[in-house]
Amino acid sequence: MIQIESVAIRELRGIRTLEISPRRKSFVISGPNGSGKSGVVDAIQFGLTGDISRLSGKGTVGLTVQRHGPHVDKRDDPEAAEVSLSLFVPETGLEDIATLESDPAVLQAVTRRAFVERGLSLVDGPVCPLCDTEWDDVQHLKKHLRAKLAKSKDAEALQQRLLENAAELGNRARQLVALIAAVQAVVKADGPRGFAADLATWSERLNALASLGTIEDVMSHKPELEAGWIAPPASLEDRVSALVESLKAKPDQSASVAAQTFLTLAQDRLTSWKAARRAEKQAATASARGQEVYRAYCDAMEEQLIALYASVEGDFSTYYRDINSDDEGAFKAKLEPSEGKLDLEVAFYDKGMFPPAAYHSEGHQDGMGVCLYLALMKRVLGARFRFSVMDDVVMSVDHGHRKQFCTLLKTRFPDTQFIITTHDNVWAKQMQTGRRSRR
Amino acid sequence: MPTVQEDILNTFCAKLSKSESIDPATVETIRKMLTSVKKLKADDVVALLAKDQSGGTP
Repeated sequence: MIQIESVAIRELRGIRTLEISPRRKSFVISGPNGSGKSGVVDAIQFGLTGDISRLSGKGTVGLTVQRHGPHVDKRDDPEAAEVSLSLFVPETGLEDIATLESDPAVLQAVTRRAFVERGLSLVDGPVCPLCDTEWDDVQHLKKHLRAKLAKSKDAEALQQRLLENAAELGNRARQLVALIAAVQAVVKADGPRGFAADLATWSERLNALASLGTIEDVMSHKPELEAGWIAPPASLEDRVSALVESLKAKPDQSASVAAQTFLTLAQDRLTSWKAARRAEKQAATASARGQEVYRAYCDAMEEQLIALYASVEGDFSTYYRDINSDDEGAFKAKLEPSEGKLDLEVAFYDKGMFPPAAYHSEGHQDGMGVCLYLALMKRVLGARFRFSVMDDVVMSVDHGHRKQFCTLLKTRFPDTQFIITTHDNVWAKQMQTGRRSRR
Repeated sequence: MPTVQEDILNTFCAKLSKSESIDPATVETIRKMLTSVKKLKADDVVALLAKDQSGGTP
């Protein structure tokens, strides 16, 4: 794994300038809150990966490395931020490769080791699963194979060391490939001629080193490892410097970018505002129409109720007069709607208008109840009033008025079937006499 | 003789027809909604009233 020789930081996070030199040793950074300790961690991550994770990814809405990576006093001058790392890259296993090449027995032991391990796991009797040799018993065979594995222990350690180095090398190669990919667009646009192509070639070469999974893979890349696995393109530093100068020479576009960002945001907000205005207008229109419809409904209800009261009032009076023509021929009634209720007043001879229970007898009130019901049914059901059941409804009415009541049903509601119950035989006979009912 | 409900409906629709902001087609739709056996839904009424009377949305 790589180790850090030294770090130089300038205008990054909370750090103005800082140089530390761990020289591949452990290094403690201490200080109070806000002194910049985490800034060193950010700087090392930025130097190795080009990213600062606390400023990117999930949960960092509105934060960016470009805008918030530089020191707060340099937030409008991100180019002032700089990190330089001096790294120690460990050996790539060239010595181990040389050992393998110089001692074929070790190489053979390494290559056969996996074979013997597999054979040992397949032993299920005295016959060797690798060469079909028959042994005295299973124990002797297993002992023999284990002895072979023991002999190759050094080879196993070498193999493990070599593959671990190869894995670490692969990680570093992938990180470099990612860094190259991140700058390729800028290099293509503003880099020196041929630089982008050289970076692409370099990236391909590094990619080939990114997955060395076997001893054979490592051995086949020995020339690259000997030549120095990183092998950057020629004059890399000079060409990076030329690229930096080229970028610095470009006109400062931060104002344009800020204006563009502002306009984009403004456009989004304008679009949202227009949509909200449309929705508001639509809602206001619906609300106004709804209120208009509601008013129309209330007016229609009011109008029809008044008409209904007038109709019921008239029919009620007529029916009651039919029953009581002998003494209340001038009877009239008045339905008067008021707050949450409906008042009924009736004439008591020529004495004025009063509530029904004020002066009228129980028998007269009984008659009023039936007349009011009939008037209401006529108005509400009209011609559909074809059937009615009356259970002892005029028991308080005297015989003379019951006869009139019978006539009323017969003349005013000739098409309506009435089912009338009574325990009064006289009343029942009256109805038969009036041919109003069957018994 | 019309029923009370029919009288209320006719009076109601007649009053709506006099409105300048509600066109005849909408009045007719309201009449159909009120006389349909389907249950009247408030959302349907709101959607109808929110519609531009020329067919779209205002």
